[in-house]
Amino acid sequence: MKERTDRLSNLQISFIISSTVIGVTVLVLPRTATELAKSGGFIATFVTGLLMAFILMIIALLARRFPNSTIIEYSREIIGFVPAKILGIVFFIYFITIGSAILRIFCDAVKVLLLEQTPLEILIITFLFVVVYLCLNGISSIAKICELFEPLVIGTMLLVIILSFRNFNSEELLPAFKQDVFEWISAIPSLTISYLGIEILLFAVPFVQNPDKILGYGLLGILPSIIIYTLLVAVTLGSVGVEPVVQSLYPVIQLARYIRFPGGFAERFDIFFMVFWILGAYTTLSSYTYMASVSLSRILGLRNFKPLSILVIPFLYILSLMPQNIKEIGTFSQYASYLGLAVLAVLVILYILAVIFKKGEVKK
Amino acid sequence: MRAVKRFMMVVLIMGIMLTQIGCWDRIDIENNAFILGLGLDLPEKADQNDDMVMVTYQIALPAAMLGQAGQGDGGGGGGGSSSTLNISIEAKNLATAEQTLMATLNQVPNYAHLQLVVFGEGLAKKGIGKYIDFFFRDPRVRSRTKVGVCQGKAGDIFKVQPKTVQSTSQYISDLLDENEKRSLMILMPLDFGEMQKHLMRKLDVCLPKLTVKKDTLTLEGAGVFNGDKLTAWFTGSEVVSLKWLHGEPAKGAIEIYDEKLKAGNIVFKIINNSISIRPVLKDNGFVFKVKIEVEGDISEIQYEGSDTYNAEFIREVENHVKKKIIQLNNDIFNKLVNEYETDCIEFGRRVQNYYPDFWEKNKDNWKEYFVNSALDLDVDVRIRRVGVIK
Repeated sequence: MKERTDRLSNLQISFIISSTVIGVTVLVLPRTATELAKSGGFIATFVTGLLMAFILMIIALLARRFPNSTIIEYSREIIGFVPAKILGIVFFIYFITIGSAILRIFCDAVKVLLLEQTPLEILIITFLFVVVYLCLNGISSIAKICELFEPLVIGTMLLVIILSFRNFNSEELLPAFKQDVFEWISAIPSLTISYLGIEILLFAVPFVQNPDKILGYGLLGILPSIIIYTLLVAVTLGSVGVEPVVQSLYPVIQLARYIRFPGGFAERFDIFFMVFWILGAYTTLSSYTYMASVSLSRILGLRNFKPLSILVIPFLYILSLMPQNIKEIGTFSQYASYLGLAVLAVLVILYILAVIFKKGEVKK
Repeated sequence: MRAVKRFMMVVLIMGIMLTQIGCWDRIDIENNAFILGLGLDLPEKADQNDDMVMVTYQIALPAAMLGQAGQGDGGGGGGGSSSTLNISIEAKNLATAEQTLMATLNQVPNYAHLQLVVFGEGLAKKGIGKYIDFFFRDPRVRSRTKVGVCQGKAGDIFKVQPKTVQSTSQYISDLLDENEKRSLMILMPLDFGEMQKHLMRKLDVCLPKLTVKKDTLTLEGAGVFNGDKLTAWFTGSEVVSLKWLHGEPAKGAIEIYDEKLKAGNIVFKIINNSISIRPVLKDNGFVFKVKIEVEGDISEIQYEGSDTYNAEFIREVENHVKKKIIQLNNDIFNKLVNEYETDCIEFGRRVQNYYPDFWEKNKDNWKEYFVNSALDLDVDVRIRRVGVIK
C-alpha cells in the first residue's frame, strides 16, 4: 500500500490541510459571507469554521480507524462493495467539481485583475500543467510545497488584515450583534466551499508517520483558516462596508487596494497580495487533483495514480470551461459548495456506521 | 520507451515555457499613457445634449517631467515645456471617451496612477451618478483616487501649471494628503472607496471644493451634494464643522474675539482632537450625541498688553473656544437639516449601524427622520500651552 518510503511528519499534515483549505475562495469569501448574513458575516464565517473543525475531528477519527488505506478502500468494509463503488464515484465527481470550480474562479480573477488580454484557456492549461507536475510526485512533494508556501500565504493575508486596521471602522460591525441566529446559519452552506479541503486528511493518513496524533495536528491545520477567514471578513466589512462588499466581485482585492502602505512606496498592495494568493491557489488545486486522481485509481483498483492524474486534466479543463459568465461561475461554485457539504455529511454518517458496526482498529 | 519519455518531457517543458511567459499583456512602459487626473464637465455648447459629457484627461509626459527636474526648478516655465498633456473629449460616457482618447493618442491609457477626479460645477449640479459607475467597475482604477468638485469648469483646473510639482493632479492629491491634517479650511478627501459606500447606501456626499483664480489653485471649502446633485457650496470656515459632524478629527486654527478679554483676536490652534458620535432614538427623530474633545495651544494674540500666563485667562479663552465650536456646529447642522436637507455627514450610516432594525424599515424615507433630528453637543476644550512667550 505504501508508494513511497518517505512519510509525512505531523506538522506536514497541519500544513497540507491548511494550504488545501486556504486558497482561491479567500478572494470572494467576504461577499459569500455577507450576502446572506449581512454584517454578521464574520460570525457566520466563524460558526462555519467551528462546524468544519468538528467535521474534521470526525474525519480524523474515521481515518485513524483505518490508518493504512484511503477512504475509497475502507468504505467497502463499512457499507459493502457496490455502495462503496458508488461512493467512490461520488467522491471523484466531487473532487473534480470543486477542483474545476476553484480553477475557474482563480483563472477568471487572474484574467480580470492581472492578465486582461491572455485567453482564459491558456491560463487554465498552464495552471493545470504546473499542478499536474506537482501531483505526479506524490503527496510528499505536495506536503513539502505546502510547507514552503503556506507561511508566505498566511503571512501575506495577515499583513493585509493588519494594514487594513487603519481603515477599519468598528461601528460597521455593530448590527451583527443584534441579528438573528438563523441569518448566520443560512450562510453556512455557501460558506462551506471556503473550508473545503479538509478531506485531504483521508488521503494523507496512509502516508503519515504517526497516525495517532492526526487529530490534534489536523485541528491545528484548520485553525489558521478559521482565524484568518473570520478576521478577513470582519476587516473587509469594517473598512469597505456591508453594501459595497455584497456588490463587489472581489472584495478582498478592494480591501487590499484600499491599503495605504506606510511611507507610500508600495502604491499597489493588491498585486503583492495576488502573487501570494496564486501560491495558495496552486497548493489547493494540487491537493484536489491529487485526491481526484488517487480516488479514481482506487475505484479502478489500480495501484499507481500517476497516469490517472494526467487523465484528470481534461475533466478539469472541460468542466471549468462550462460556466459561460461570471454569474454562472457563482452558481457553479455555490452548487459545488452544497455538494461539498453533502459529502462531508456522508463522511459523518460513515463514521457513525463504522462505530456502530465496530469496523476498523480502535485505539485505546 | 525511455527516449519517448524524454521526448515527451521536452515537449512538456517547451509547452510550459512557451505558454508561461505570457506576453499577451505586455505593454512597454513608454507605450503607457499614465492618466493622472480626470475632469468631468458639461460640454462646451450646453444645448439640450442631455447625455454628453466632456472628459479632460491629464496625461503625464515622463520625458518632460524628467527634463524639468534636470534643469532645476525656477527657470523654463514657458509655453511649450509643460510636463503634462491635457486632452478634452466629448462623449456620451467615459468608456466611449476612452475610445476616442485611444484614437487621438499613440499610447495606451493607463489608470494605475490616477490621482484625482474632478467634477465641474455644471455637471455636478446635473448629477454625477451616471458617470461614476465606470470608476467602480473598471478594475484598473484604484479606489484611493480622490474626488473633488470644482467651481467653474473642471477642465480649467488642469490648465494651471503648479510650480512645486509636475502636475495639477499630484498637487491637489498632495495637498489633500498632507495639509488636510493641518488646516481646518480643507475638507477631508473623499476617495472612490468611500464614495462607493455612500452612493450604494444612497447617502449624500460632500466633496472638497477646488477653485481657480488666474493661475492659483485653491482648495478650501466644500461642495455639498443631495443625492448625486450638487446643492450648495460651503466656505472654508464652515468646513471644520462638516469634518466634526462627520466624526473626523480636525486640526487647525480657530479664531475667537471678545471685548471682555481685552486681548484682541485670539487664535487657538488645535493640537489634539477626538470625537465620538452616537445616535439615540427619541420618539419621532434621532438625537445625535456628539462629544468633541479639543486640546490645543494659543498660537497668536493681536494685543500687546495681554498676559496668557494666567489660569483665569486660559479658562476664559477655553470657554470662548467652546462657545465658538458649539455655535459653528449648530449653524452647519441647522443648515444641513433645515435648508439643504442633505445628510452628507454620514448620520444615516450611524443610524444603520446602531439601529439596524429601524434602518431596514425606514431606509427609503430616512430624510424625513433626518429633518427631525437634533444635535446634542458636548464640547471639552483644554488649552495646554501658550507658545514660548507669556
